[in-house]
Amino acid sequence: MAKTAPQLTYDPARLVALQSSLIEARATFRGKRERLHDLRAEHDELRRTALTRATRESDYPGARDEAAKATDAATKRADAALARVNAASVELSEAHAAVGAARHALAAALKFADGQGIEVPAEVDRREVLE
Amino acid sequence: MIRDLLKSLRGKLDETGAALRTVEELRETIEGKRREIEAIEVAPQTMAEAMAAFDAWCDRAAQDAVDALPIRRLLDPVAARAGLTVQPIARSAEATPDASPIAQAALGMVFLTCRDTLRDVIEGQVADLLGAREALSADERAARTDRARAELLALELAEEAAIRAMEAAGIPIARRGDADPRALLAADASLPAP
Repeated sequence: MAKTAPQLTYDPARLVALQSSLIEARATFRGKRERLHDLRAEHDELRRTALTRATRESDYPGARDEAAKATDAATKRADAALARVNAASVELSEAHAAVGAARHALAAALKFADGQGIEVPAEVDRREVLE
Repeated sequence: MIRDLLKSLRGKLDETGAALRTVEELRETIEGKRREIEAIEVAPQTMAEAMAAFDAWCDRAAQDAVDALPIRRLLDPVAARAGLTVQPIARSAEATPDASPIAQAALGMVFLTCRDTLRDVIEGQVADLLGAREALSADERAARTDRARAELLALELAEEAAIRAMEAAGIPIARRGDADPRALLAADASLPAP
């Protein structure tokens, strides 16, 4: 391990790479947000189905066994969908944190580059680091 | 053939897992190094430096007290009857007058007359507070902080090298938001070989 600070050379193109990482993280976040939206819609649908079957079960006592099985199956599908929603929520939180980290990293790198007089490539859009 | 493909996939997954663990270990080490720097920065100073601070404070307080005493008054045949009494400062906005000039004068006199006794007491208290804690002189603190910061930078450069190697292998990994910008902007040639 180095005992003294090494002499470093800086590569302005790294700013472009950091910006790309931020854009990619944002795209991942949007994708996960859409997936969560879809999963929530699916869960809502399955939950409604389960409730409908439960209502029918009470409406037709003669077919109670069969209706109960159908209700159980629908409830299990709804529960499985809820588990997927919860997992997707966790993934979305992680993706959100990744966006924040990428944005902070790019902002810190830009500030450092400005302080060091490193020329920022034209491809880098400073607005990317805004909230 | 399928078995070979699965074996290859398993190998790649193992490699990916190992690379992720390496980055994770580096991040834990970085966090530990940061804590080490914080500990160095807040470590107590040595007994000698603590007592030097005490002595400087005493000198300043005694000097200020003497300077603030109305000694010229003693030369005035009428006003001299009041001795060196220091008056509190009445401020129109305050309900009670400011008595701090009196306290400062008294403290300064204490330092002038029985400083050695007080110093012994304070030195004993400082020694008790220090106990077995590691004390650092200003030079030691600066040297150890510099060394730890250099080690921290080396770790951050190693982390950045690992992240770039993973990116090159098609495994994106999020950087830390508080990563050192020197590592983020370092040219590939400045990074250690992964």
